[in-house]
Amino acid sequence: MLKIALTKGRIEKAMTETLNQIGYDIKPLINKDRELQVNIDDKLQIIFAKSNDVIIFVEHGIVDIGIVGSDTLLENSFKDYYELLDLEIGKCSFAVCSYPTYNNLKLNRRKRIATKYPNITKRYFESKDEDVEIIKLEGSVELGPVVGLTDAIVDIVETGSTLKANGLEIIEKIIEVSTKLICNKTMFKYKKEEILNLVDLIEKSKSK
Amino acid sequence: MELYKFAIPEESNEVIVENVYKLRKYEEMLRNLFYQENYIETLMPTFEYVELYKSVYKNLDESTLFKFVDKEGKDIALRWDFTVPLARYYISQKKEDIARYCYFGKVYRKEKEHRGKNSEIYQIGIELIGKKAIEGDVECISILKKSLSTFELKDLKIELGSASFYNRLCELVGIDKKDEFSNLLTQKNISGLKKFCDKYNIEENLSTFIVSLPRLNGNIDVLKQTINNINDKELQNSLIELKDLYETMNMKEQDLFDLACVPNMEYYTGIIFKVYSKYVEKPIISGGRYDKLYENFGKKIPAIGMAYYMDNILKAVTKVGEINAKNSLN
Repeated sequence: MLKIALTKGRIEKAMTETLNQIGYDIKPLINKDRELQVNIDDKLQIIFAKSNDVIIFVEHGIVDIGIVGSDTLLENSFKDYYELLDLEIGKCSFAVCSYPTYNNLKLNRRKRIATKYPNITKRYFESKDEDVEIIKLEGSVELGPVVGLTDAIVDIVETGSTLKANGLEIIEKIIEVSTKLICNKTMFKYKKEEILNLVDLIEKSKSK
Repeated sequence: MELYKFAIPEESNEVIVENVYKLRKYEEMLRNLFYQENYIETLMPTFEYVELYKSVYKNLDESTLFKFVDKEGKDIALRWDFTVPLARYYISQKKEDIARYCYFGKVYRKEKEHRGKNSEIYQIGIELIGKKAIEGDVECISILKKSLSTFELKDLKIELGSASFYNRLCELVGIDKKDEFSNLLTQKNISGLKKFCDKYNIEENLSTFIVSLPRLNGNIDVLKQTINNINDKELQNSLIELKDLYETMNMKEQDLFDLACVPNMEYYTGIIFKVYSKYVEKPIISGGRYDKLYENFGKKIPAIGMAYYMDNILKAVTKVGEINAKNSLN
């Protein structure tokens, strides 16, 4: 039996659809109430977790496979996994967002940036030879510029509707984000056939 | 300040009761084996110059070092590994004979906090200096094989990879793309390797082979098939070397080959190996041939070595114990 940690929410929905397409009985996934763990056909054992926790479970070998966004993978310090497949679901992008006047800002101080992703933000501005002050927010990052705490934000942008509703826009895209299938290295040595079988099924369904 | 009476720092690792007993037992068995094979025990210093490590590990993440400033104002760090200090020691002897060293002790590497990781890591290992492939490889692997029964762990898998195979792949792909290629290969990134081949218009046969590499991680059959399927002589030869080693060493059906193996240190040149247990998420032993390490000290000396990660071994043994206890209750 393969153990999978699945990121709750958007990715969970898209992945449920993928599992349906490749022939798994997804009723247990749809009908789950508050269960944190669900079995499918005695083949898959799926646990539902927040994105950073998915990585922790893979890191400790608690699950064989994690389904998680590349945004979280880029931000996380753990890199010692196999990233077998790009699932090409839940696509969006990282961007610097602010008011349209951002590029004309003249400040006597470092720019302030609000984000949930300080590591990615730091690397991005370093690559631009720019020194900024990063403020980590946990919730709606857009509040940063709206309440006047920061000059801009770095966040993932899907539709851009929250930005628009608050008068903000994309200043520059940083990198594309997609959902990845990652795998614990040791578990790959012991369950390679099962894991690659799932990878093959998903790949085939993608090319349809 | 009351807290400090009862807690240990997050960096610390403590081993208690039965685990100390087991650790000492394994240590004793390994020491006997190493002594029998004429390995001399060494006790390396706790502090080394940061510059020593930086000169060898060009991409060393310095945030993993426990650093201090010594009384001369130089940066020193807690011992980060044994291989580099032992290389320094060997060079300081000003001999060029074959040397066999073994060591038992801790290395100190800062880990990120709250991830269930320790920063003091108990390692046991050997270094065989001055003995070339294949002779040296055979000696090292045969000691490895003799040692495995120490741990009473079933289902262990030895995995072999080849740095020369990897180096040739990098040449074929183009040295200018080495970093990008290596990152994808390390991750066995099937989708990423596909995009990589498309992006650089890599010739069809080669690109098909590159994309298949993540799957080529299996037993001797995988290796034999690949040897038959590839045309490049250099690639083929490096795999034949692995096959010969497998046969000479009488390795087992469950042992693995990883053709997407990327050396995690720049100085690896020949075979790379790891030992896995399904009861712990990280390898319990790793090693390889590093004929380039001594170039950092201005010498050309072949060497091979391996390290046993005792914490991972204890974790696996403890896990097996817990499973057995559970089963005997049912």
